Amino acid sequence: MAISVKEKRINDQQSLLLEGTYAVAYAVKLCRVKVITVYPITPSSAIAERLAEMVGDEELDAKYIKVESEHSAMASLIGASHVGVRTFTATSSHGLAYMHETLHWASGARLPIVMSNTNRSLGSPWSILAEQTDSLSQRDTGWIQFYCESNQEIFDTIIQSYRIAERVYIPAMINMDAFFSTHVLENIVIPSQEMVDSYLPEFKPKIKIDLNKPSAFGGVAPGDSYFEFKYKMEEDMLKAVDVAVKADNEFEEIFGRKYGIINCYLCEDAETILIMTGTAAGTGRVVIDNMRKKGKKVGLMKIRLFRPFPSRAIIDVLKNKIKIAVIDRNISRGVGGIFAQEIRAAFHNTKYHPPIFGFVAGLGGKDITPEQIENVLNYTIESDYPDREAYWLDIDV
Amino acid sequence: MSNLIKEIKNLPYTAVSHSNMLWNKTGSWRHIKPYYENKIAHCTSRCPCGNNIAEFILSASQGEFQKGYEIIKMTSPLPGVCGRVCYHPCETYCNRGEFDEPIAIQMIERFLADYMSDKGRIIPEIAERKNKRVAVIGSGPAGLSCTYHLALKGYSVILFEAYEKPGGMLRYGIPSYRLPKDVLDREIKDILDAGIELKTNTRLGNDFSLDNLEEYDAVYLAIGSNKSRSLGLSGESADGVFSGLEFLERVNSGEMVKLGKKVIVVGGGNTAIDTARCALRCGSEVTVVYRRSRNEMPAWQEDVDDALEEGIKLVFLTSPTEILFEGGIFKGIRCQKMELGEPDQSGRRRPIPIKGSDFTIRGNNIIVSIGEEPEISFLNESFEVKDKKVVTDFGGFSGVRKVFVGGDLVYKSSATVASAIGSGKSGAESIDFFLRNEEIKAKEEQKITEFEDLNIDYFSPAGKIVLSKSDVNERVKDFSEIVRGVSSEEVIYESERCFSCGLCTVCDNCLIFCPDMAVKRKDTGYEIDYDYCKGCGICFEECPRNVISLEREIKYNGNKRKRKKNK
Repeated sequence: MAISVKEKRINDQQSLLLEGTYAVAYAVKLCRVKVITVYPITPSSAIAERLAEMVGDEELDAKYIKVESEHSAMASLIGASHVGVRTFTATSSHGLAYMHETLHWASGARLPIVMSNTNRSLGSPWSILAEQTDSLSQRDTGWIQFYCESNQEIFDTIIQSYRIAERVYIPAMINMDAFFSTHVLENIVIPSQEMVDSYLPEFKPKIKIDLNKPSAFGGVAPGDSYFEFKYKMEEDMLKAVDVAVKADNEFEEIFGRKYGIINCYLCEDAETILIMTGTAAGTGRVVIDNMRKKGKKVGLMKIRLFRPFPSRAIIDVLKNKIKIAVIDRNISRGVGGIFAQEIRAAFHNTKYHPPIFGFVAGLGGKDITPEQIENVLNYTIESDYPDREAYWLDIDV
Repeated sequence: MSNLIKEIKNLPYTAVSHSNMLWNKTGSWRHIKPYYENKIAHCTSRCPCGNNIAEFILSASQGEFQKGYEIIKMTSPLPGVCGRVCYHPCETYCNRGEFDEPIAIQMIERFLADYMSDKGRIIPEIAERKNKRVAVIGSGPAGLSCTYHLALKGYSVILFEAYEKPGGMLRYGIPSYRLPKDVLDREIKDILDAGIELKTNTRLGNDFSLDNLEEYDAVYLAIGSNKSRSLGLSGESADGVFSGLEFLERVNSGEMVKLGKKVIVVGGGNTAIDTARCALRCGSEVTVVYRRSRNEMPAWQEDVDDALEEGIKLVFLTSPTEILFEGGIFKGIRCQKMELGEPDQSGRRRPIPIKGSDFTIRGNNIIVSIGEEPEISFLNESFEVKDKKVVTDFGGFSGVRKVFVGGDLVYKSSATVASAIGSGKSGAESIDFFLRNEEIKAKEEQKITEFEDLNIDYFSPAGKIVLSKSDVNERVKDFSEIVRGVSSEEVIYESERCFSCGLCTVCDNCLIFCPDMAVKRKDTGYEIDYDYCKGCGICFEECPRNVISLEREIKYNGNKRKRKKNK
């Protein structure tokens, strides 16, 4: 029986049991990244360690720059990316916060840098466990943001991100949960270099540092041009939604896997939809299965692409649902969970206005248990309208 | 609206200038100004000969041994000598010594000299011949050095030497096991080959006087400290009693001086240790008697260690009070035990006799080596003499018409080979000024790079090469050289350890770190483009070896409020 080219390619892939951090490193290697700068931080450090080994062992032909801070890590990549090479860094939590101003610069300079961020709580009080507030605090820095559920998804999203970022000239941040992803072993399908090369051709930016044509980058933008640059960037950022969808589809053609910018589980006939992100979404699906067995018409939507926010895709799924519940492992103090707010905003200028229940859970790495999730759904089904911006799980519900 | 959209379409996706930014002369922002300037390494600043140590080591590290040798020859004609007998203050002050271990500078110098020994005579270019003649009296290290440097400047030199062969204390004072005669002969020959007229067996005061030198345009007097001090005890003329210098002179002339079984050496300086070790090599048992303790010994520690290792007995805090002799033949000494009191003028603790502590040391010979002084009976009263030495100005000028003085004969000279060589060089410079009718200039103060000036982040620890000596049981049998040489590989390794303090190695750090690309390469180093240098100082910070300096750009006092004077 003849096998198709696509099947053969898929058969070329190997499996490795990897923690999330190593999955990132393997993906970065296959993307032929040329400059890596990392300042280590728990729980992201193993990414830096594995990449350093790869560079040291000459498995990866890249310049690995040791830096003294995350701020310098990003600043170095800004320089490197201007030269027109593929770049990567990894960070987490306080490290990401420390990068803040350089994140603005990277996106403003339209540099398709790719960065992994392990979602970890910010102090005080001190915690190194999972929470998304670190990256969501950076939502206005102009970076594409993905939130991943599994290690395979992390691995694949890194590869996809280079393709997306380099098409729209916008940097991309791939987020994963501290420890639930970074320190959990998972069987990862590793594609061949040839497959990745065919998906990710050499990066050739239209504008880069050219010694034969000296120019200054990011200088003062006179007149109205600052405003106009920002407009252009917003245009491209909005385009990135479709670019991401396309990149995902093209990825499936070569690698046989696809994630969607959102991922819906039993949503078609559901009356109540639970929205989750990150690793907790997997727990959510188990709860949906259990409640379906009990005859409850519930479904789960996982949001994978957060910036640009895929409002249209989300509204398309949610528009005729009766109620929506959002579990946020993050908090914007004073308004509740950030995903819940984003979804509320997405609905605002539509004619659909289902009640949207916001729940805050799992901050500081606290487990989000099946019981909690079932409580969330039951509470949502039983209540007419939410009486507050956010319910804190186990405290309010 | 439509115009705006059109404009946006024409914008690139990122803000990039249409042309270069050279019009933007950011140098005007600067208030601190870096400048590129090689400085003097700490070691070099301490070299009495003024050798450019960092430079010759840099050449050695690149395997360019001849170049390294030529650099030394610019300042010293006796690298093979200094490479063996200098007390190497350079190593004491080597900045690397504060990091791990100092560089074996002396051994590198010795290697370069020995390496070039069979490569023919190499001396720096000789300046145009001048129609002036200089008489140099004394062919010790000071006289040889002065002769050499005068010859390089184009002067005709006649060199007077009292003894049969030139070299002075280098030949007749320093034993061959420290300085082999062939090394000395080789380096002296190199000097004399510059057309020097040498008159040996011609002693000032005996064979000629200063007045006989009228025909010369200048005179350089470097007769050294050639007279041993005596104990001032009766019996010093007895058979079996030697002065240190007399004994060394005979041994160094190749004579196996007949000594008895037991030899007593009196003194704690280098001559004492040298005489003791020579006496040992003549087959005697040697006891050194010194009136203070080991801490106060002026002899080099290393040589004292060697002497002890060779089996010489050291008796401290002991001073001879009487020479015992029978029938005109030396039999032993009466001694007194001493204790140390308050420090004296030399800063060392003064020995004080302990009453009733007399005892006798029996021996067949005694060699009195308690110090040397110049023989200056021939000097007339126009010379200012203090402590039996001649007082000079900083240029070595004696105050007496056209007579310059150098080496150990100078009041307050430090009486080392290296300082004598340095003194000869500065004497030649002074004579040159004098003969050109110019005022003798004092040396400009140089900027010295010390350990604190370095950025040691750029250096990793690496141990010093191991220097070895010949086996102690073998070496006492004859006068062959003790300290072994090293291989070219070892020299390159050792030279690579050198920090090159204050000396640009063209490492490019300043150029790489400059955020304004204002540091430019030029042939032998860098220059800073002040049109663009913002004065951030990172080049200064990141230069590992202190070649970049900072200075204030302007002193701006415009904002200082003028205080009203209280009437």
